Amino acid sequence: MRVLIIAPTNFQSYATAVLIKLLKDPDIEVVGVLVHAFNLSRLKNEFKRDGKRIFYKVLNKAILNEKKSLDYSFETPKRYLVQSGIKPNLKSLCDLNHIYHKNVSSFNSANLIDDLTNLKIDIGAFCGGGLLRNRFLDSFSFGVLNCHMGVLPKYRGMDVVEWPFLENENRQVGVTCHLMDKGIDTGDILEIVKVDPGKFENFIELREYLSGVMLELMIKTISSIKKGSFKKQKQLQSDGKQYFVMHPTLKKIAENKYK
Amino acid sequence: MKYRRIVIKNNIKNAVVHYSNQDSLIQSTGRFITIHKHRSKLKSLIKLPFCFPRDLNFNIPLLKRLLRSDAKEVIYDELNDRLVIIRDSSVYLIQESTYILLGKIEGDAPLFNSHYIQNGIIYFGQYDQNKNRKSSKIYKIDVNNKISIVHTFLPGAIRHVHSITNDLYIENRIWITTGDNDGECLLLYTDDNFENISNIGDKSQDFRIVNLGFSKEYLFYGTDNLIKKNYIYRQNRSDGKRKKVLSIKQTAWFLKQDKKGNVILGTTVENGKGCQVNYSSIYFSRDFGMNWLELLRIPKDIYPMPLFKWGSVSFSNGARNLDDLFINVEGLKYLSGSSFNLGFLVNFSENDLRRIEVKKKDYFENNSHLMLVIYRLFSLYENTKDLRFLNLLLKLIDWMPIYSISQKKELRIKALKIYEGINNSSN
Repeated sequence: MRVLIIAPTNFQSYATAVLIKLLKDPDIEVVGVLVHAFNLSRLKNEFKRDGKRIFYKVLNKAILNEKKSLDYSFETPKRYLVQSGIKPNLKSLCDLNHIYHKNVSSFNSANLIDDLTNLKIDIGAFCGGGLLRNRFLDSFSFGVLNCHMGVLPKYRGMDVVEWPFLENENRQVGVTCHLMDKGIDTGDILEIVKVDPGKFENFIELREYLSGVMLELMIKTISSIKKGSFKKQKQLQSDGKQYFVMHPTLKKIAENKYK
Repeated sequence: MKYRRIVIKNNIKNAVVHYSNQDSLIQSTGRFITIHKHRSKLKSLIKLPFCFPRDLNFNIPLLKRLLRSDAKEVIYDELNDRLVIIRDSSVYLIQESTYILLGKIEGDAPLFNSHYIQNGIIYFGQYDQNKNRKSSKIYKIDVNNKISIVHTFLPGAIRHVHSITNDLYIENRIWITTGDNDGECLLLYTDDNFENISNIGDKSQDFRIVNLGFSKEYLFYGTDNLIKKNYIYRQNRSDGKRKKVLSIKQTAWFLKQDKKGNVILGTTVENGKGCQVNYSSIYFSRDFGMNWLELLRIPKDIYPMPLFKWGSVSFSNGARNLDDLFINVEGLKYLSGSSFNLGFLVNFSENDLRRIEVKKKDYFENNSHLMLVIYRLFSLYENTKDLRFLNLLLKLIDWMPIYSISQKKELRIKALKIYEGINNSSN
C-alpha cells in the first residue's frame, strides 16, 4: 500500500504526525510528501477567502495554541510530536527517511500529475492545502482521503464544529473520513467518529480534541483499506448542506449556546 | 439614433425598464429612451422633445421624482416592431432615428404598462388627476397609427382608467379597471371591442383594482383600497363569487403573469388606512395566484409622499417567461430609481449563496445590487429559517458602504430580532 501525504505547509503538526505514524507501520510504504508552497498568490487567495481571519488563524495555530495544546489530557497532533521529541518539519523528515518531497505552487499542474502517475500511488492522505481537481484525484488508484472536522453528509464546508450548536444539533459533532471528489466534502464516506462535546469547555478545546481524532482516524482508515475491511457510503448532494465561514456575531451566539 | 455595443446587467441604476424579454430591453430616464437588442448587442438612444418643467431636472434623482420626469408610457408592439411613446399628452411614433408626433390625448400618460395590443391595435386609457371628474376616455391607435376614442366614461363616472388588459383565456375579451373613489371603481369587460361594456363589481373601493391576473377558472387581483384593508382575491368566473387569498398590508398596484402560471404582484406604500406598514412587498405565485410567497420587503425612503412619489414597484412588459421581467423601484429605501431582474430574485438559491461566499464583494454590480440581495436574504431567512442565509445576511450588512453606519446597525438588529423570534418559537 503506497501512500502520499498532501500537506498545506512544511510545518503542519497534523501532516507531520500522520507521516510519523505511517512510517512506523511496516505494511505501509510512504512514498513521500507533497506540500502546497506558500507564495504571494496563495496568500492573496486565502486572504480573499478568509479575510482578517487568516491572520488570527495563523497567530492562533502557530503561537497561542501551541502551549494550550500541551495542557490538554487528550492526544493531539502537537502533543504527540512533542512527546515523541519531533519538530514539525516535513522536508527534513523526508530527507531523513529518503522519501519524495516536493513543494508545488499548484496541485493541478500537468508535470505533477505525470510525476504522481509514475509513482503509482494507492492513497493520498490529504492534510490540507486547497481544492483538488479531478485529474489530480485520478492519479491515486484508491483515491485521496480527507478527515473532515464535521459529521458528513449533514455538515459540509467550513466551521462545521460551530454550526451544529447554532442549529441546536449538538450531537452532530465529530470527524468524518471520506474520499475526496470534485465537490466540497461530497465524496464517499469511509468512517465517522462522533464526539460528545459535553466533555469540553469551549470550541478551542473541542477543536483540539477533534484534531487528535482526525489523526487517529486517518491512520485507522488507511489501515482498514489495507486490510480490505472498509465500507464506502455514497453521499447524495441533497443529504447535506455546504456551510461557510461563520459570521463573528453568530459565532458568539454559538459559543454562548455551548456554554 | 446612436449605436453602441453594451452588456445588459441584471440590475440597472437610474432607469425605468419598460419592456424586457430575451430579444430586447427598452429602458428610459426622463426624456431619453434606450433600446437594447440582445442578439446584435446594439443599443440605440432616442431623445424625446424637452418638456417644461418636467425635464428641468438636471439629472438629479430627487428632482426627477418631484417633477415626475419619468412618467410616460412606452408601448412596444413586438409583432410589428413598432414603438409608440406617450408622454405629456403627446403620442409619438418612434421610427429609426427620430420620432413622429401622432397626436395629442387628454391626460398625461396612461398608468405604467397598462395598455393592451391586439392585432396591431393599441388600446390605452386616460390617466390623470381629474379632480373635477370630467369625462375619461379609452383610446386606440390603429395599424395606420391613427388615434381614436373607443369609449368615453361620462363626467363623474370615474376618476381615471387604471388598465386595459386582454383575457388570457377568453378570446376577444378585454378587461378595463378604473378608480378611485367609491362608486368609481369599475371592473369591466367587453367582448365586442367596446360596443357593450359590463361591470362585474360593486364599484366600491373593494373593487379598486389596477392590474388583473387570469386563470381558466378565476380572475385574481390585489386591491388598491385606501380606506379599508387590502387583500389578494380570487374571483370565480362562473358565479362571480370571490375569495380572499391573502391579506396584504398595503395597496396592490401592478401585477404580471406568464402562461406557466407564474405571477408577480407589487404593493405600494401610500397614505391611507389601507396602508398599514412602511414597506412595499413583492409577492410571487407559481400557481395562477392560488398561493403567494413574499419575495421581498423594501422600506419606504425618507422623502415625503406624495410630493416625492409613493413607494412603489412596477414591472416591465414583454417577458414571455417571468425570469426575464424587470422590477422598477420608486421611492423605496436604497433602491429607488433602480431596476432589477426578477429571475435573479426568484431563483436566488444555494448556488448564489456559494457564489457570494466565494466572490465576496466582487459578486455585486453596485450598492443597489447588494441592498437587493440583503432584502432578499431577510425574506429567505424568514421563509426557510436556514441559518446560512442569516450568516450571509450579516456579512452583507458588514459590506455596506462605510458611511451607512446607522443603517447597518439598524439592519443588523432587525436580522438578529428575526433570529431571536425563530429561535424562541422553536424552543
